[in-house]
Amino acid sequence: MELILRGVAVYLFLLVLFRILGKRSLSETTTFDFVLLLIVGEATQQALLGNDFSVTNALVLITVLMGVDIVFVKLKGRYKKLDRLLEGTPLILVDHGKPLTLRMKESHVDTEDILEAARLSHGLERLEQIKYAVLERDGQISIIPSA
Amino acid sequence: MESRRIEKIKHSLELDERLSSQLKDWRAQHIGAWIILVVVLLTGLGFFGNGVFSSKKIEQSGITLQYEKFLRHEKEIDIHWQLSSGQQPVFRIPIGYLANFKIGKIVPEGYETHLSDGYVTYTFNADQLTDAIVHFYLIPQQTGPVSAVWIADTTRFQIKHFIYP
Repeated sequence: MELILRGVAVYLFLLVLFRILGKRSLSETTTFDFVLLLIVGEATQQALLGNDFSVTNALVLITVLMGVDIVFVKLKGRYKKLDRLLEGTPLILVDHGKPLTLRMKESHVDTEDILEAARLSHGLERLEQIKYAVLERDGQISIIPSA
Repeated sequence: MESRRIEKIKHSLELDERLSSQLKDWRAQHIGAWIILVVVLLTGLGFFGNGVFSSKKIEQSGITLQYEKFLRHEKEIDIHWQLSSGQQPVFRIPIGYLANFKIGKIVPEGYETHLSDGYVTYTFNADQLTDAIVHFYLIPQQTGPVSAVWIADTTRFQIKHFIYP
């Protein structure tokens, strides 16, 4: 039972933490982000496993974490409000070449990020060539070019 | 507040922006960021473990007690006693208090124990004491607030901990 509680507690804590950090927190993982993720993994290992480093404990824990994830996926599919609460909603950042600065500021996205996404996805050169730039729920920026 | 002036646009995308939901998100993120900063600050000050506000030192009747107020489950702590000459190295610890801990080690070794009146009494051989220092290394087994009165020689010491999960 303790293992389930540990697993659920850590799962919920990380869920809330990454929700607080915002959509862009890990959408583009830099080398340092990767190192940071490894450290987070190391730090949570003890909390999850306690003093029992057996294979059984590890396998049960993985199963518990996957189980909690399945429950959340099912609940999000069933309750749209919960889905919005946990995953957020997409947000338009550029409207017909005009950057929506307040939205960008609140989302921690700058013009460079949008131009980078525009170059990578459509080979666009300037902001005016973008009809819409949308910050998706997973933190990626999708670009719809002007016709 | 700046978020109230967020640009409202009409668009042709089949996309459910839910701006009100976004505003709530941002508000929660601002509050969350402050909470993270406060937690980091409190951690630095010792409210979640070792630090300035975690350690407590009490001096009474020539006996010095030093202990940590904020403990972690299963993490060993040191209840440190220093006695001055002429005092009996006898400690009476409530059984209820000890029920929250597993005794890791007691230094110096070579003590006697006996149970009476809801207390466990530890009597040390005065000749064995190095600089009249006694360490009780305890490992928290429960979580939540724990308080008790230890009696060292004949002096009462109030000890209060909070054990984090």
